[in-house]
Amino acid sequence: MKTNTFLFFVAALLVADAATAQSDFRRFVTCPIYRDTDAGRKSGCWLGTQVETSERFDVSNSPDKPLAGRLMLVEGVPSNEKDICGGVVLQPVRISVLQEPCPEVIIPAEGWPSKPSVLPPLVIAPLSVPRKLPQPPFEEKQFHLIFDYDSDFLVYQSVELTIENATLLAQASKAKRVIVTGYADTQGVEASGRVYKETLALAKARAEMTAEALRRMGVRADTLQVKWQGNPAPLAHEAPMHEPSKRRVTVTVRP
Amino acid sequence: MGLTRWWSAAGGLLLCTAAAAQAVDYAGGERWFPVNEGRQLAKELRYPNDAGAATTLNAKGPIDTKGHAFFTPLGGNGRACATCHQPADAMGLSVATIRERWNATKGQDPLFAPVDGANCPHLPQGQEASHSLLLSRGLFRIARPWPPRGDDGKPIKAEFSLEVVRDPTGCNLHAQHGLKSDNPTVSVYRRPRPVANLKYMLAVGFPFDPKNGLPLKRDPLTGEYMSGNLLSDARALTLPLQLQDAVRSHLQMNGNPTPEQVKQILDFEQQVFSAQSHDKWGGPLTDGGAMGGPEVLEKSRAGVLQNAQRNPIWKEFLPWKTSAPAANAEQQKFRESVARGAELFVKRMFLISGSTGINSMGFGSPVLNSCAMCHNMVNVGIDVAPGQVDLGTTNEPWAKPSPELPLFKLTCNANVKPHPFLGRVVYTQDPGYALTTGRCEDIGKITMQSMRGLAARAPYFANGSAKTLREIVEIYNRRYQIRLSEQEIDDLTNLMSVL
Repeated sequence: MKTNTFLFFVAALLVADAATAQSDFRRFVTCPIYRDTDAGRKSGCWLGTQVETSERFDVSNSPDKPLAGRLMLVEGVPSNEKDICGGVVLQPVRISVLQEPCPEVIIPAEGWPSKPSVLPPLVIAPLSVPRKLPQPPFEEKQFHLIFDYDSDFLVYQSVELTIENATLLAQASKAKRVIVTGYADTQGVEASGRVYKETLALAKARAEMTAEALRRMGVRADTLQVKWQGNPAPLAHEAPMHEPSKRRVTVTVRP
Repeated sequence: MGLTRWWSAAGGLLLCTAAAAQAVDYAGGERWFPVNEGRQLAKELRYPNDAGAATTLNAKGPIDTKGHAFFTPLGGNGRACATCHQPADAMGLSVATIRERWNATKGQDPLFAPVDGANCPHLPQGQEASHSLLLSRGLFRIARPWPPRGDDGKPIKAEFSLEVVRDPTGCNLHAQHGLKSDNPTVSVYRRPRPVANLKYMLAVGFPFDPKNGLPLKRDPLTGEYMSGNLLSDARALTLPLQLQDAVRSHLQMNGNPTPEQVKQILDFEQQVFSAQSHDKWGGPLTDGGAMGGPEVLEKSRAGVLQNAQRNPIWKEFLPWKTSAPAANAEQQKFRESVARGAELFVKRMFLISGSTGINSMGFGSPVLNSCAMCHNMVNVGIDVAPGQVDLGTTNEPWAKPSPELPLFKLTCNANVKPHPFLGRVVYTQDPGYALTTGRCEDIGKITMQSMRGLAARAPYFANGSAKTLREIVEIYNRRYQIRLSEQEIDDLTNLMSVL
């Protein structure tokens, strides 16, 4: 009984924590600002102002970077990371490039420190590095690939390691079935006064793109099963980025 | 100093180099390597050019070209592979050589075959006007099927429609050769890519191609990943497929070469290394601690990604920054310039924007980086990724005005996203990679070229739009508003002249 009370207490804390984080979750549409850096590489500062609150955020940690001159949908959570770009750092954060144009804004470093070039955590190794195959016992496992809004593009240094890991498990376990399920947020989300809904066709496109990637990596074509659906449930472990996690493909490797 | 005078003065220096014992030096000799004649191909062939000399290393030793499939006309037009891949031009073909050949044969060499050595096959042959693109820019006609065809030969549903806006060669609107013919064809005009250092063109560094957002394709015969760096539009991804494409189109061969011929060509192509080996100011490119020339290419591993700190590209020439003083002040000055150029190539940051294949794959636009961001494979400066990018050499508004080239209007279909930077309607002189994939985003993307042997094979870019190495630097300087100083332009130009 004591244990149960303790577990309940921990669970309540987790829920409260998630709720707090969720309440801090920001979603808005804005025009990106590129702040040049003095000695950065690849990763100058990307900023965006939430016009509703007049707060300026640093979205540079997004796996996909903005295009100057095109609106972006920002989804993320303010963090305590040190501000080196001139905006509160969103982390986690994901931006999606929208089709609508906006003024192209590129500003100088203005004394802000450089954004150091840091490789993202999920980077695929060169082929010269031998791969370690997963070892038995093998169990069914799911791999999730998150996509930008309105996109089926597999963004570099973001998902390719997941695709490789799914492939290695499928190969090592001689998987009988690899189920690729594409999802799209057909219900949609509200941001800056507009609703952003995805189509079911996009769920299909995501699934097919991922299946093609798995085939090319070495998953046997006759084990692949491709499915898609709209209005999915979010991934619990992606909190607080619940709604972006609806835009995903789930690969289920079934040994 | 004129080339002849310099060469005569430098001859003694060249013959004193260690490698000279096996090299055949063509200083003052005939540049054209004949096909179907049976001349021996030496282990090393060294030919002068405006910057110094390039050496082609025939690594497995002398070859009797009599009956050798690379040097033998296999099709109906008298051409061999060697016709467009000459040792004097680092296994490519310079416009200077093309012009020389025209003058020597009064336009009768098979090089000028109507199929692609003329602006269009229907034009009257033997007249300069009919071969003007080849004679002025070194451009051969490449006939691509429309709609594009996939790996299985079946038509791909393109994401865009294609209209001919300008047809100065008459080929794209021609009843027999054009888009409305029984065999609908898009004619574009491109430089030949050198058949040398191919292990680098074929090398695969990573399994995933970030530009396409997919892993690389696999060779159905071997199961190996294919690099995608072989041809301008990546229409053939392996050497056997490229060979098949070339003998049927450029050599007009009916049927197939024998397995022995195929093996002979493939073996030869993979053991040929070309690079600039001597500079008219800097001297031998292996002096003073430098490691230029083709020998290092034969020995080094291919597919290695450069790293600015640990393994910077063109480190071959960094010793010239600090090595002992050279023979004279002029030589020292040149060598230091090359070393500075090598550093600039890696370290000189600038904002790259609006270029598909660079900015549209997740890095954002603009992205802060150097020349080495894209020219990143150690030893050759192609892209490990592979390198289909739009630098603006063929797409409006960046393309050099070229009224002598066709202009196409491509309209992206309503059900696809518009081109990331150019919108739904794109005007282009060459749709490039999009003629292989049918994708809107790929319009005007062209595969990156190897930077080795550049001094031997002007002009540059796939459409020959840069006449000189300096012009390449100036085009980039304008395109990306780099604001290079005169000295930086000199340094980068000098670097490229010794590759």
